[in-house]
Amino acid sequence: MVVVAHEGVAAASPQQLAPRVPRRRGALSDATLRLLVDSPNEVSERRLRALATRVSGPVLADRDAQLTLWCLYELQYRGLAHVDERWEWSPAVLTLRGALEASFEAELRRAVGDLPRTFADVSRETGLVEAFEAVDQALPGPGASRYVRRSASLAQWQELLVSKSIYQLKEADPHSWAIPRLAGDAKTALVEIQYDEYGAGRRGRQHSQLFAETMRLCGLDPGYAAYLDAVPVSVLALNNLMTMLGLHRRLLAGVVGHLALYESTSCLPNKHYAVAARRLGVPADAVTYFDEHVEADAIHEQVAVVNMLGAHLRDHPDDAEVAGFGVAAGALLDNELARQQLACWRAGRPFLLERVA
Amino acid sequence: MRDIELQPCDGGPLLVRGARVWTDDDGNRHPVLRPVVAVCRCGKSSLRPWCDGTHKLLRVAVALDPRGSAS
Repeated sequence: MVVVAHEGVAAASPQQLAPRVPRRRGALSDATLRLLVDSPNEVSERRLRALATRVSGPVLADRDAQLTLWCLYELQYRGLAHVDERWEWSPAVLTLRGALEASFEAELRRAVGDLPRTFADVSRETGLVEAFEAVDQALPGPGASRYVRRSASLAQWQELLVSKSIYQLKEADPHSWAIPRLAGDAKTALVEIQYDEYGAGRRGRQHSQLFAETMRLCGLDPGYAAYLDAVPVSVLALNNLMTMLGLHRRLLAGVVGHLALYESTSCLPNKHYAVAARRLGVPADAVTYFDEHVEADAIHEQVAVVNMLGAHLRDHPDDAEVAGFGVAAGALLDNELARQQLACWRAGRPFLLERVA
Repeated sequence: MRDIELQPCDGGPLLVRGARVWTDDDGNRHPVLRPVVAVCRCGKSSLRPWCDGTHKLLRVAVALDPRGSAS
């Protein structure tokens, strides 16, 4: 028998703090964040609603718009440092958020075209595994993890970690929004995955904590969203997609599909990352995160695709197209990020907007 | 006797829930540290007895035999 003491509470780690208000990147984020540092009041709420009416045109590749959306979404997670918690449910905030989401979702739906329907048709006629393959064939990844395995420098490795950190330091959280919305077998399967993601009852074993430790051991700041100012728009967009899918009940199957996508595309890249980490000579404990994901995601993939998404679509067959939207949009944005990283790294340019180490 | 649940996955691993030990065919005992583990059935995993997703790279059908037992 192993006896583990749980006495003693560690000092607040940087992961427990709300992120600071980021550097403004344009007119919309500047105006929004200026209003949010005050407490909610009639004037500021009116101004936020006025900003919502001015949201027009594409937002998918607009860093100012995606940063604004990320900050408004963060009010639903941990909030922003020195921003009044009552903003979370301010109708004006939700109006501005809704305007950004409407453009974002419309652009994503145009970009993925018929793929959600293809996913639905293939999943019904052949099977879910084949439906994921159909999306993968239509949106093949550029092979960034193979590049990292063979060629990434230490600086590029750090850029990879920083790019991943916006999600990985809140790993699993966006998909947890689905827990109270699911029922039956799909809920059991989701919670089986999330229990593992959150450390399976073992202190310090949350995947987000393992990732923070990896960052620290690789010479980076493990603070939650510490590198928000450094990440390009593609990183913000894929994070915003997960939260949008998670926060809208009408997109429930989409967040379930997105999690199944992540679990079924993570095993082999993490194997490549583990090889890269060892090649670059980072401390052995920094590789734990990637080794853990090879083993855990081999399990999660089966649970996510068959037991979770399979059960949800068995109980709600009409949800297959929404699931396909989550899968296709997720693949689209992951590929876009990877393509940009590869283009920069192959050209010997940094991917991030700021030097990080 | 513990309740052990076995779930074979199509073309993939065997999911094992509720086990404490997986004993492979050579008699090696592998402690089970998770509520659910995936046992390799294609024989190609680098983490055997556990699955590492390698079966997805195999183009030909492989014998799907977990070679061992849970307890």
